This record gives sequence, structure tokens and C-alpha cells, in this order.
Amino acid sequence: MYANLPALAALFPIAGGLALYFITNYLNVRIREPLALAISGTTLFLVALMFPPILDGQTLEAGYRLFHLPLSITFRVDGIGFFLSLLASFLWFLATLYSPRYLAHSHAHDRYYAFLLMAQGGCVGVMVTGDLLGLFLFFEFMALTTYVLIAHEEDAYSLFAGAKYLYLTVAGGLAIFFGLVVTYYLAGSVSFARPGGLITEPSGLALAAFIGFLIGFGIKAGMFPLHVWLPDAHPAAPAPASALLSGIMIKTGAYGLIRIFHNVYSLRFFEAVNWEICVVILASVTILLGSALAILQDNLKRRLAYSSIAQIGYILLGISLLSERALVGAVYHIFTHALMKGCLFLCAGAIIVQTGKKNISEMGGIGFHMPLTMLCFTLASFSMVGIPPFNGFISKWQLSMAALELNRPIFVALLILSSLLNAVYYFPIIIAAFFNRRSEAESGAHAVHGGHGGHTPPEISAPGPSLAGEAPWEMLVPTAILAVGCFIFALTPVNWPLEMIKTVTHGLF
Amino acid sequence: MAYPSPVESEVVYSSLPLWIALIPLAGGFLVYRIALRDSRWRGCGAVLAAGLTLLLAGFLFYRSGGGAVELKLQAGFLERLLYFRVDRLGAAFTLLAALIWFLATLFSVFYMRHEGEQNRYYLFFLLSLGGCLGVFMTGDLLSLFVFFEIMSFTSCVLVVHARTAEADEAGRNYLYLGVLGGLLLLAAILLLYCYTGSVTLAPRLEELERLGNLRFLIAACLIAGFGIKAGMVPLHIWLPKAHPVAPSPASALLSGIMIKTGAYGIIRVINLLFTPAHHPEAGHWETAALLGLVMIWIGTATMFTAAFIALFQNNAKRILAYSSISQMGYILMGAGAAAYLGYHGAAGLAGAVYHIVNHAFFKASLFMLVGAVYIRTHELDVRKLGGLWRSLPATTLAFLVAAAGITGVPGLNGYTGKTLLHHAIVEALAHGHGPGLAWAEKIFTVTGALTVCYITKLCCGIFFGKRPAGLGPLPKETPGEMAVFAALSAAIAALGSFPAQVLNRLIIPAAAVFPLDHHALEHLAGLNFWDHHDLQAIAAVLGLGLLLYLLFGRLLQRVSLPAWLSVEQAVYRPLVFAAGFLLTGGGRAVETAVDRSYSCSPYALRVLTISGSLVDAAAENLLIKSTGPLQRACLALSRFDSEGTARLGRWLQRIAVRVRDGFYRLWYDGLRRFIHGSGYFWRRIFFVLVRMDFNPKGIRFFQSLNISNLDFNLLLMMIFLLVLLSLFFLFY
Repeated sequence: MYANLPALAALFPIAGGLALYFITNYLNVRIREPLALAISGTTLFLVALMFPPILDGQTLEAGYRLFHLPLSITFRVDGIGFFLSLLASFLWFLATLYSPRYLAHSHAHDRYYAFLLMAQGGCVGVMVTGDLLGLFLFFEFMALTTYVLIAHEEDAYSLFAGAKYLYLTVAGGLAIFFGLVVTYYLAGSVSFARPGGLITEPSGLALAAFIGFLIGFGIKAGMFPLHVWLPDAHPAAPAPASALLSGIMIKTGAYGLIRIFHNVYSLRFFEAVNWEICVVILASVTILLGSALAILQDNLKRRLAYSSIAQIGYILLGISLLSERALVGAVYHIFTHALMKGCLFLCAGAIIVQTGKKNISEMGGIGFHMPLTMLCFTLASFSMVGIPPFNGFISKWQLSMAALELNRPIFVALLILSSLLNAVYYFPIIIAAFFNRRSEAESGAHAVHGGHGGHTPPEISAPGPSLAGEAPWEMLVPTAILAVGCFIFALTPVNWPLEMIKTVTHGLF
Repeated sequence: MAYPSPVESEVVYSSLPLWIALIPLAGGFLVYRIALRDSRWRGCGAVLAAGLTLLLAGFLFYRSGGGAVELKLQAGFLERLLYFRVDRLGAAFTLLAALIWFLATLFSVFYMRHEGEQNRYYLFFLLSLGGCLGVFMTGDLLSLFVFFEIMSFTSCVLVVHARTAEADEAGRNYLYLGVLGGLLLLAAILLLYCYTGSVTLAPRLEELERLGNLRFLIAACLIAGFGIKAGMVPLHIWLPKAHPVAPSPASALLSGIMIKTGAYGIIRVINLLFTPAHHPEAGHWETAALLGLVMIWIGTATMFTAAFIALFQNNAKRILAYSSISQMGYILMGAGAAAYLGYHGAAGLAGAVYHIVNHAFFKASLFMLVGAVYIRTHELDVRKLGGLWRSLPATTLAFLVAAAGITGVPGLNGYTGKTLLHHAIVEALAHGHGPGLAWAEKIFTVTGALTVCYITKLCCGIFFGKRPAGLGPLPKETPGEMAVFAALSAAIAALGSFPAQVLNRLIIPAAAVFPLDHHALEHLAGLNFWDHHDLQAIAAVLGLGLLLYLLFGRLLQRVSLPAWLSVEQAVYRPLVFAAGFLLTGGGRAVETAVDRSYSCSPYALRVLTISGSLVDAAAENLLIKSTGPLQRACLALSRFDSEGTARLGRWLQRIAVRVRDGFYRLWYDGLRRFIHGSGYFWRRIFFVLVRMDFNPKGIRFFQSLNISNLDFNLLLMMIFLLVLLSLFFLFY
């Protein structure tokens, strides 16, 4: 009974998204948000249903013959796929919950929800397929549906960002397709299930395929020379979409690289050729570059986007160090980063909705207007910097230990430098938010028209950017859940995500 | 009297440390919650929480007499257990911190009436208490690091409390240096954990020496990490900024307790971690001695530099801040001397611990007293204050006691600590035979004189001399304030008056947790502090200091040090600026290059399309344009085909028609004309033919042409002709 669950979990939101579009367009518009939430929640439930067999150590597998391809699409869920798809579905559910209030004054709701759900299907699909073909198909599907989310605002900037994203994504898809074809040619199969990997002999074609995969997944992940779409796409997209983009979707690139390293090629293969060095170097540059550039940004979402680039550098570093503990660190950082960056983007979205402010320089004293939102922001930032009881500390600890075990202390220095830079670009926001009354007075005088002297209270009847107050609960609850997620597992005696990640990554070694 | 060594000592398992750390942490949030509803209870609640913590800390101190109190907790965020281990030293510091914090909380209730944001203040006040006590109660570096970070971040909020521009600046400095220090510690912890498999704070020099030169890196990271917090000299820059802007009770704690966590960490590292585990009496102390020597010099530099700078300050709290740095120098020097002397370093360690306790009391007292002055006068500049002893006699008295304490007047606590430290440096000098340490000893003495000088400047500036004209009548001290001041003054006096008891009950048991020669410790217990050498030395120091003040006191108020002399202006700012510029500028350059290369891709595409179109045009010229004539010919042909031939046809047709018509007309007209013209002949022929078978009548012609003469064929022809002609005439 479990074998068909993965396919169902991947295809249900796609079908649901399409159905939602027609239902809301032609039948009933009022059930749009509840329906979207229900579809997203059902997907989460379907993914969660896979937990018992996964816990038993089983691998769910089912093959379907599609089209007239010589290959069949296989759905195959092992521990790591399950963990990441659960994380993705959970974050998607929260983002769907968050969306209605964020989009209240926006347009094209039907399209947004339909594509949000379809992208969820694509994203879950990437993590539950058992071969390169299925991964490629779902990857492309997710990438293309995401374009609609990025270009949602339809202004010049978001169209530009969307175009940038689209072209790079198409290029990446082609690169992956190239790798897929070469792999099929070399190995006669593209299934992840073959023990010992698909490509076992180093050759020029194998290198070409590796480069193809690296480019394809690197573009999605935002690896250094391929990251340029990311700082434009994140600020352009609506906040919940940015949260998903940064929290989950760029991780599919990292997930793809995990599959490439462990299932398409094998560890023994890389012991012989050491091609992973180039990923290590690119990841290091990504970390430094992302952190350095984040400091320069004034637009909050843009700063967060650059921070995402830096954090994806940690993840790629952990993946490419090719030791078990490093992979634990990387996967844990995927988990951590999904929670904290999701939380930060949702906070940024709440600030935009409540005050209309996008730039950090305008945010002085905002902690007094939106204390809970900014508290969530603070918690997530602490996790970002890696302060002990928070999740970020754990992943950095694991990564550093892995680097030391491999006798490469240079990466510890890199991580520590990056933590310092994280502090340099996150703390000023918090300090300005909670301690900067002066700029609050300036911007307050700006925002509340005619509110001088205290005689005339700000007009409450007119909703809109000038009414600064705490975000509504539909926005606050997902944000708070994510913020609590940043430390709650660390305070329990047993950190079960960490234990689970240790178990699932052990399966790859 | 035998003191148990750390290895042999018994262990008591108790959850007490956890409660001591949790009560302020949870109490902080509870007080905040209550204060949101009713602000009257917050002070009371904070005092209660601090008081409860103090009680438990006292109980912990009592329990630790029977052996170290241990507690191991599993926590999800640590790979190891959260490890509390409170030995006698940790318990003593816990008690000290809890006591000072309790007094500061009491004082806060009076002081904070004049400040805003009290809810937040009490919240972070209590949170940092929890963090600070945790530092003293943990048994391994990782757990220590956790609490150290909690303390750093929560106390930062206390520093920026006033939210003026200077407070923001100070807070930024404090925060970033705190983060940097934490990360240095983390680096050391990672190295230590990875290469030795343990982060326990215990004598482990043998293990560490196996790491080769890496042990120096670990030591450097640890010393720098803790040194930032301790205000060690090149890293002290946050301290003179943070203290003046923080509310006075917070300054008192920052200076009295929190910077001591740095000193505590350094003592734990160089006097415990880097000491041999086995046979300390015969062990190899070279590494520890080297670290000790470095630390002696760092301490000496710290004490002298800070004391010298303090002379030129006019802000009362800034003087005290530099004074704190200077006193930390004494403590670090003591710890260094202890490490340098290794197994025989009892005097240095006892001196350092004693001075930590002393400094906590008199510096907390001084900061709170200056705070009491500040809330009445709203002035901190010593040049603009004066003569307050009439208005505030109790404050003046307490200030005099604390000032006498810090300068080392015999009978008060500073004297005892400094004497022990002086013994330590002299012992180090005797042991090391180096010419350098002789200088260290002289600097120690000179610093004592400088201390006297700046404290006198501070004291005279505020309480004596001429009262400024603008100052109105000041409110008297409240009983609560007086109680706090009295408690602190009493403690200062008690610690100084009964040094033997303090040593026996507090300092020596605490020092005994380190691998030291117990005989030397016992010797310390019997030390006579009223030795005339020591008394003479201190008298000389006091006299020199007062002399300095009398000579240069006026001058010191006017002269200020140039800004470029400060290590911050000279080194850190350019360094940070350069690093930031390199990093962000380099990053921006790379990003621009990458982005531009992508942005160029449309141009590349355009080049591609243009070249493609060129190729296309060439191909078109070759293949298609050349067919133009042919095409035109074909077109012409087809046009000819469709039009010309038709026209030709029509033309031919017309010619044909005309020819036909012509022929027809020619034939027709000709025939007709011929017929018309030739009618006569035809008729003649007809009649001839008709008459042919008649009688010839003699006509010759008919005679020869008679039927009978004709052959049959000719006859037929003639009949046919006749029929034809008859028809012709008949129908025409």
C-alpha cells in the first residue's frame, strides 16, 4: 500500500493546482484559499504517511512506464528523500497559510495559488523520484512553474528577474539533460538504485556529464559563478514565494548534487579522480562572496538573498567534502536554513505588508511596532550567526568537525569568518529595529501624516502601508512556528532531526 | 591541613547548578511578563529572583565544600553533554557574582527610577546573571562557551540601554568584539575537541603537548577569546566605551563581575588546562611557563597602559573603566606568574583570585557611588563637580572606603590582594632570573602609584574642592542606597582586615583545585600581611601617588591624550576598514564581473545572431540571389507563357481569321464577280448545251458537237455541267 504513495504525493498537488485554478475561476472563488491550504496540507499528510516504512528502513519504490521512452519513471523514496520532501511540504504548507494576507492587495490570486501548488508537486517530485529522468522532469517542471511565482508582480523589475531566472534555468535544465543522456549512454540505466553508482569508469564523457550536472544543479542552488539570478529573483517574488525559493527550492540543487555524488557516481569514483575539489573551491568562494555582498545591500530581501548564497555555500561545502559527518552537517544545514531563512523572508514580507518598507535604513524602531515579528527575526538571525542553543550552531559544529577530521582546518577558519560576517550583516538590523528610536521618530513622522502633537491619532480606518502594527495572526503563526523551529529541537534532550539525518545519511555511505 | 587535589576529590551529584542558572533566566522572563501588566512589581520581582539565586549560590558553595558538584544534562544542540562541574573556585565565584548581582539589583531599584525601558532592563539584567553564573559553574569549555555567549549577548542590551549615539557605538563595539571573542573560543574548542576528543577543563598538558605547535594556536585562541572579555590590553577597546554609557548598576556588574569571566577563563586555561595531569611536582611545565611569561607581560602592559590613560580622563565612569582594565592587568599578571612558577605558583594564583574578589567589591561600589552622584547631578565630568561631601556624606564615606581599598591602604582589601600579587612577581623574578621581570616588578609599583593618583583625582574632583555654582540642593541618600553602600563597604573592610580567615576559608580552598604545591598553599595561610617590608612598600606607593597628584593634578585635568594614540584609532579602525574594503570591495568587483558577464550574454547573443544573419545573407546571396535572373526569366517565361502565348495565339488567330476572311472574300467576291462578269458566257454555254441535242440547223459547231459525235465520257461531263449550271441559275 505504500509503494504508490510517492507518486501520489508528487502528482496530487499538481493535479490539485490545476483543479484549483478551474474551480476558482469558474465555480467558486471564495474557497480558493481554504482549498489551496487543504491541498497543500493533504500533500504534507501524504508525505508524512511514508514515515512508518521509512522508519523501518524500507525504501518505497514503484516504476511507471510513461510516454514511449525506453525508460520508465521510477518513484523511489529513501531516508534522505523522505526527510527533505517532508521538510519541503511542511514549509509549503506554512507558506500557503501565510499567503492570503500577504496577497490581499495583489492580483492574479488564482494563478498564484495554482502555480504555488504545482511547484510544490514539482519540488516533492524531485525528492521522491528514483532515477535521473524523473528527477530531471520534475526539476524542470518545478523550475518553470516557479517562473510564474517570481514574475508575479508583473512590474518591470520582476519581469527582468523572472527572465534572468528563466534563461538560466533553461540553460541548467539543458545541462542536466546532457548529463542524463551521457549517463544513459555510459551506463545503460539512470536509476539511483544501482549499488556502486552508475558511472564507474573515469572518462572524458564522464567528466563532461559531471560538469553538466554541476552546472545544472549549481544554477538552481546558486553556486558562485551561476548565482546571478538569485539576488534578483528573491526580492522580486512575493515574500512567501521567496521563502520557499530560498528555503526549499534552491536546496533541490544541493539535493541533486548529493544524488550525483552518491548515486550516479560513487565515493570510490571520486577517490580516484578528485573532481569534487572544484565544488569545494566554488563553495568556499560562494560563502565568502555571499557574505561580503550581503553587507552591502540595503534592501532587506536582497540582503537575505545574498545570505542564502552564502548559506548554500556551507551546504555545498558539506556535500563536497564527501565525509559522513560533513554530509550530516550539510543536510542539517538544509533543514536549519529552510527554517531560519523561511522565517526571515516571512518577517520581511510582514514588514512590507504592514509598513511598506523594503530597505533596512528605513527600519529603525520597527521592533516597537511589530515586536513579535521582529522577535522571530531576531531568533532566526541568532540561528543564522550560529549562537549556541540555535540550530545554526549545530550545523556549523558538524561542518567544522568534519573539516577538522579531514585535516582541513582552513574551512573552520572560513566558517568562523563567515559567522562573523553573518553577525555583521544581521545584528545591525536587530539593533536598528529595537534600539533606534531616532530613525523611528523620523520615519514615524514620515509614515503617519499629520500625527504630530498627539492630538490626532493616526487614521485607523484606512488600511495600507501607513498603518504600522503587528502582523495579522495568519502571517504571524507560520513565522513563529519557523522561529521556534530554529531552536526547539536543540533544547530537547535528543535532537531528533539530527538523529534522523545521521541515520539517513548513513545509508549513503 | 590537607587540601584534596582535583583528581582525588569526591564528586557530589546535584541539580543545584541547573537551578542556579535557570532561576535568573526563567525569572527574567517572568518578571518581564509581570511588569507588562503591573510595573510596580518588577523591581521587587527582580530582587526576589536575584535573592533566590544568591541563596542557592550560598547553598552551592556550602555543598562544594564536600567536593565538586557535578551535573550532566543531555542537550540537543551539543554533541556532548551539558556538563556542570562546580569546584571550590567555581562555587566561590558563583557566590561572589550572585552577591554582587543581588546588591546591584537592589541599587537598580533606586537608580532605574530615572531611566526608561525598565522592563527590558530587568529582563536582560537577570538573563545576563544566568549566563554569568553558568560560566562559573560549567566543567568543560563547550558548556562554558554556551553560557559565555548568553552573557555576552544579553549584557549587550544593558550597554546600549541609553540608546544615545555613544551608547550605540559602544554597543556595536561590544557586540562585535563579543562575537569575535566567542568565535575565537569556538575555534579553539573545535580544535581541542577534534584533536583530543575532549573539551573538559582539567589538567591535560600531556595530551596537548602531543599536538605540537597546534597547542599554541589553541592557547592563543582561548586567551584572545577570554581576553576580549577581560579587557586585556590590545583587545580592551570596548571597555572604556561600554562602561560610561551603561546604567551604573550595569557598569558595576560589567566591571565587577562580567569582565572577571574572562579572567576566570584565562585562569582555567593557563593554570588548569595547560598543566600536567600526572605528577605535577615532577612534570614538565615548559608550555605553562611560557604561557605564564606571556601572560605576565600582557598583564603588566595592561595595568600600566590603562592606569596611565586613566590619569587623563575626566569622565568619572571612564576613569573607573580604565581603572578596571588596569586592575584586570593585576589579575592577569597574577595568573601569569602562577603559570610561570608552575607547581610553586601558589602565591600568584591566590593573589589573582583574591584580587578578583576584591575588585568585584570595590569597583562595584565605586560605580554605584558614581551612579548615585549621577542620578542627583546628571553630571559625570569631574571638572564640573566638586564639594559634594556636604550634601552626600554617606556616599562620600563609602567612596573613601572603596577608594582606599583600590589604592591598597593597609587594612582594606586591596592591600592584601596587591601584596600577594607582589609576592608572586617577586617569586617569579627570583625563579626566572630574567632582567625583564625586574622591570615588571618596577612597573607594578609605578602602576600602584598611578592608581593612587587617578583615584585621588576622581575623589577630589567629585566630593572635595569647590562646589560648582550651578548645582542646586541635592536629595539625600535613601536608606536602601545606604544599605547597599554599607554592605559593600563592610565587605571591603572585612576582606582587608581579616586576610588570614579569608585566605583559609575562601581563597586557599579555591586555589587548591589547581595542581599546586600544597605546602606552599599552607605557607600562604600563615602569611603575615603586616610585615614591615610590605607596609613600607605600600606606603611608598601611596606617597608617590599623592605626590604625583599634587604635582600634576591641575595639569591632568587640562591635558588630554591625542586621539591617534588610541589603539582603536591607530590599529583597529584602519584594519577593520581595510579588511571590510578588501572583502566587500573585492566581493563587489567579482560580483560585478560575473553579473556583467551574464548581462553581456545578450550582447553575445546579439553577436551570435548578427553573425548568423551574416551567414544567412551570404548563403542567400549565393544560393538564392543568384537564381534571380533565372527566376526573372522563369517569371518572364511564365508571364510569357501565361500572356505572350495567348497574345501570340490570339494574333495568329486573328491573322488566320483575316487570311481566312481575305480568302473567303477573295473567293466569294471573285467568284461572284467572275460569275457576274462571266454570266453571259455561262448562259451561252448553257444554251449551247441545251440546244446541243436539237438540230444543228446547219451550224457547223453543232454539227461537230452533236451527241452522236460525242463519246460517252464527254457526254457525262457535259450533262453534269448542265445540271450544275441549271442549279446555279435556278438558285442563285
